[in-house]
Amino acid sequence: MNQDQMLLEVRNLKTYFFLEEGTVHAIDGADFAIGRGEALGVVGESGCGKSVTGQSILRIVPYPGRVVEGEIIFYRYNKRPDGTEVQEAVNLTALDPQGEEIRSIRGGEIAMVFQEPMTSLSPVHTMGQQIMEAIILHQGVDKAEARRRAIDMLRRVGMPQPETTVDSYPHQMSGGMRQRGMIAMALSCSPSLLIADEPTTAIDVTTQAQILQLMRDLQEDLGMAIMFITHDLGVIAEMTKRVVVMYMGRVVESASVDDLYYDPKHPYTRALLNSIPRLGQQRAERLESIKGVVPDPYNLPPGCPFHPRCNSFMPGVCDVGDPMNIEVGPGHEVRCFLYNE
Amino acid sequence: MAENTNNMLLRVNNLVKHFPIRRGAMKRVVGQVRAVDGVSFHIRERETLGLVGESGCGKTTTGRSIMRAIEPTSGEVLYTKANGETINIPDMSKEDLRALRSELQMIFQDPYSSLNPRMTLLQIVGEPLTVNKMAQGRELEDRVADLLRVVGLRPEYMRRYPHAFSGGQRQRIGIARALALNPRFIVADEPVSALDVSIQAQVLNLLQDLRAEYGLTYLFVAHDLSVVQHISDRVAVMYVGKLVEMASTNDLYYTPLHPYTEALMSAVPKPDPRAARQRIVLEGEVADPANPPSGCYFHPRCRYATEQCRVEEPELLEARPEHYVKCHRANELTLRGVSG
Repeated sequence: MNQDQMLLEVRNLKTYFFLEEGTVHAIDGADFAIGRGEALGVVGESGCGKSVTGQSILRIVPYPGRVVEGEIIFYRYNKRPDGTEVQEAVNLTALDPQGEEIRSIRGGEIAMVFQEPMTSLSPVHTMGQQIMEAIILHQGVDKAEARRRAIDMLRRVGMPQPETTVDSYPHQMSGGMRQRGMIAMALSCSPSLLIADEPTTAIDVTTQAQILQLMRDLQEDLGMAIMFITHDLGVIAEMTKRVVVMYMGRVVESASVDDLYYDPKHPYTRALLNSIPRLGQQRAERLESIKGVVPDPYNLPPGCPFHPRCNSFMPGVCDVGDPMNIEVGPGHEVRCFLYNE
Repeated sequence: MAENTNNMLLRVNNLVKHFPIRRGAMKRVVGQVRAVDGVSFHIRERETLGLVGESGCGKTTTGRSIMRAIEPTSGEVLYTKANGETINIPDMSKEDLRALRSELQMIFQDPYSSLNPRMTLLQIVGEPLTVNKMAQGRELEDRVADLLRVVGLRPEYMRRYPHAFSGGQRQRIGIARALALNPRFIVADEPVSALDVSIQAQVLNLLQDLRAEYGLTYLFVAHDLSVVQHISDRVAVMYVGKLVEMASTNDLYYTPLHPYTEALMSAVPKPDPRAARQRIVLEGEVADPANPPSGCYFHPRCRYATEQCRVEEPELLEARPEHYVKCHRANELTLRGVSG
């Protein structure tokens, strides 16, 4: 990626959870980057570290988790008085998670939409109050102006009767409306990066179609980048241009969405794509399933963490060493011994 | 509905389940949530009927009312027992129902809350056998070991508790328990929706293997249209407490006759970045089953709605052989299926 179009760069990120039973390596050396205005998909199964990746970027990893190593470089673009842009790099992992600087970025330049809108919205504040809080905090406008902008934002996300819903409480809304409210809140400060963590997983398919359409439109209009975290390979195919696949805290493959679906390299990616029933495809008698289960996080297998489930397991290789990232094509990297020279 | 009654295992006629809405100090009934509002369908022996719809459409309530896990308000559920006798489940006494439980079983959605955390696998899977006094001691252990093997778990795990298992393994435990009494008919309520994709495939394959091996009949309740297409012989679509379409899986997916089915199919994101997207984005929200709209319940969101749809409720009719649809315009519309 062109350096002057870079928005976020994650280098060798490690986030561990220190529990009584042991240490969970939720993210164990992840590398990826997001360009300005780009839609990146992060895909994987539960426990692969995809949500913790989003939390690490915003520095909201819950206790007892901690970013222990690596860098997350966030590039800010400040306009000079003469109109040219100047790039400024901030290492988010070096910031105090409660400090002034991360708080100015969180919710302002980088915003997040969560899976379950009911648990991430305050039940005792109206939708409007929650959106206005972010606007007042980050944009320093007065209450009347913030309210005007909140209503405007609600209209933009397709909320019915925004002038009245601005004073509604989350419990008075349906799941789809709450998710729109949360998107309005996230977008109210025009972030340059939106982290969407399973934003449509808890809602029905026809409402999901509305929300995805909305996010695509807003991304184009506002020119923001989206990091789309989901387990749904259908949503990834529709919403993103580039994808990283995570397994046990590592990025095992990263590619353009087209390469990933039509020329997957990592045995895990291949197995994942083969294991989903596809709408409209002639019925195969059996699905290809991935054998075994995701390994116990306290007790990771040696070598490549996927080797006990892998169809291409090479004894003496995969269970011994740790595979490196290998570039197999332009913008297509895979972490697997099959592609070693 | 006139249909071929050969090998009919279950016939549901006009099933209704209303939940009263109570308000005030006297808990007066001020309205009814029409969760299931006159649903009729049939399932043949060894067949899998998929029941799909969005949350709140009544699909789970339908499954539970059939089993009398909740008491239906009215309607017939005619079940043909292994001995050939046909009985109406809502009329049965508690004792008779208990005896019938060996033929009818359920698999639940959430493998985390549906297993008692204080019971070992031996107790969980063996409970139906001990309750019905069918096995005990050594014999019970042997039978449980067999059941665990059938669902792909190691018999050595018998003395462990559910917390030691992953979601997919817990779902297998639930399936083993459902199989303990050699059932003929299983209501599977969202059995794979809480599982990761790689595990989902394992459980779907297991359900198919069991059907082939034991000649099981499934009512497969789910919201995921791809999963339902994969596993079902026939599919029924529900919207706000009513069945709007029912047909063989291929007919329903490739040549749907109801506008809601068409919209539902088009809304599913396809795992293919090159796929053409011709999405029908439905306006508005699912109707409130406590306060449904007039006429056809789908008309406020339907792009084909006419004056007739606003006023008159359509009936579920057999528009083509074995293809039932509840739409005034079923014979004049050409709708798009999944491949189109």
